[in-house]
Amino acid sequence: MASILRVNTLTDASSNNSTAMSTINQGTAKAWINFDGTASGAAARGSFNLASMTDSGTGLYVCNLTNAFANTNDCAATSSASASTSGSDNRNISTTITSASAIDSRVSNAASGAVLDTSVNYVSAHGDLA
Amino acid sequence: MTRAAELAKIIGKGSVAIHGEAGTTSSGSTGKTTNLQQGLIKQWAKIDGQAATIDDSFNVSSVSDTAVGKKQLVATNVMSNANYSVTSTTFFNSSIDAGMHPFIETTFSTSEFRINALEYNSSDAGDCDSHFTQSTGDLA
Repeated sequence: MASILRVNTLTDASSNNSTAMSTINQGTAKAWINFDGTASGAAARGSFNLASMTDSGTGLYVCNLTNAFANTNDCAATSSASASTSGSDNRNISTTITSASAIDSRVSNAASGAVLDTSVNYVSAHGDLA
Repeated sequence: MTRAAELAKIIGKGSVAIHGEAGTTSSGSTGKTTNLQQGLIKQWAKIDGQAATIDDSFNVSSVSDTAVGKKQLVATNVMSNANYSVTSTTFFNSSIDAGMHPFIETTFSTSEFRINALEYNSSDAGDCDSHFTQSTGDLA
């Protein structure tokens, strides 16, 4: 049965590590994704608040959220791509929130700038949900 | 379920979904219910990339310098699987005044992962001044 805790602050049993609920709310990621950019259509391995993924082209991916953000300004996304240390695998990923319910990522070779599909990519997003 | 039982699950590391009530979880919140357990950061760290030491961290037991530009972090409490999300960023290499960008090595497990740094416009690995990283996912 669902229940509701109405509290302003959480602390541990010794009343230490006091944390306001506003901090917990604002400090909690609203979405995270671990996805395979080489899979057909791009495929999430693990995720939270992800409805679907879109493969928009080589090195271009969209994470479509189940619950949207309030807008595109009051939120932030971070990302990382995975690779080896060899020059051809020198990956760089850039990410932005293009709509309240979509996170766009672009993966490229950091040296040449050429877009390319990458096996392991990570995205995390914070902010206010709608 | 009693409040004590729910609070015990909040403090515990089990995969229990805690849902905030609309409008009561934050003055800045518009009240959309989310999943607190899924959204909580399970690990974060600021790493001195030159010295390969932990400046500050949560749920990181150690860091080691595996090669130039490569740091391996070991978690105190491990993840339930290897499909969690790790994001990282770097601060430049002041010793050579070079911009750096981060990436995560594909060799990761539930207990450890590697955050690396490469110089922009080259394939050279380098030790940046600082690594910043965080992980989200399910604890074991």
